[in-house]
Amino acid sequence: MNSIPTGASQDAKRLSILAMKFRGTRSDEERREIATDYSQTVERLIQSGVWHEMPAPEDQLPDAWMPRAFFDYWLRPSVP
Amino acid sequence: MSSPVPICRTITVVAFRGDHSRTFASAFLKMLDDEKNGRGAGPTVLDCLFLAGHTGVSTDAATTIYGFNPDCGPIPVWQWMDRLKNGEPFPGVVRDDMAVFSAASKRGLTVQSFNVILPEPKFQDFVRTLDGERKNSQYTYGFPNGDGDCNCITWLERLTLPLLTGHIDELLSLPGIVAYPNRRFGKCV
Repeated sequence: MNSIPTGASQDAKRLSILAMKFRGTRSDEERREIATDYSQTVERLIQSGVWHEMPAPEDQLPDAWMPRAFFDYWLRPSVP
Repeated sequence: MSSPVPICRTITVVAFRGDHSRTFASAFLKMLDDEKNGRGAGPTVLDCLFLAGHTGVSTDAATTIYGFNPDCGPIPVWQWMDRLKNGEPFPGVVRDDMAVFSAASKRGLTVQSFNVILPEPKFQDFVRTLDGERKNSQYTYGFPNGDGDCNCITWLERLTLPLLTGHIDELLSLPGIVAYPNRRFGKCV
């Protein structure tokens, strides 16, 4: 069973699942794959124009693994 | 001869969801970034709880509300938060977080609560477990599916506090059943 939802409306939830998967492995290769998926999901959320809530800390990856776009998007005090 | 029915005692679970709004998120990330780069003070622990949300438990009608927190010592906030995101555990510490819930409410966050009603002997068992945890928690704190034993939510389960009503629909409607079919609590290979 693929437990990761694929619809755009599910992307915020997807970040949470990916963050859990990231913490669940110590393999750098697996972590890179997860981070790539996370980055693509962040891009989709930004493009959706309806990303109004920043993921909770437990739904984020460590800073070094987070996509730059995440910070560019959320550090803005108003909607781009 | 039947034994007397014990009186009921109430345990209150209190919780609020974090503030994930752009206004707060932006300010929070800037504080973290400033701290990381030596440009200013980082967020306070209270700021972290406002962002993350929190839960705790009370045995005295919410006069005191005990919550489970990571004991991060003098480590900068950005650093321990990053380590938690990486799955690292921190020693757990139990504090009276009444002030946190009060501040969350004043801030406009919705603080919700529900009661778990137990017979006196089971209530006293719970109080003893909670007292032991307050003195010295036996659990490590970690983000979900990391190396820690539990976070503030799953710590309630470690206290053997029943959270479900017993309705099968309640269990099966938990979003996590589908979204998180595997969940780990504690460091293991």
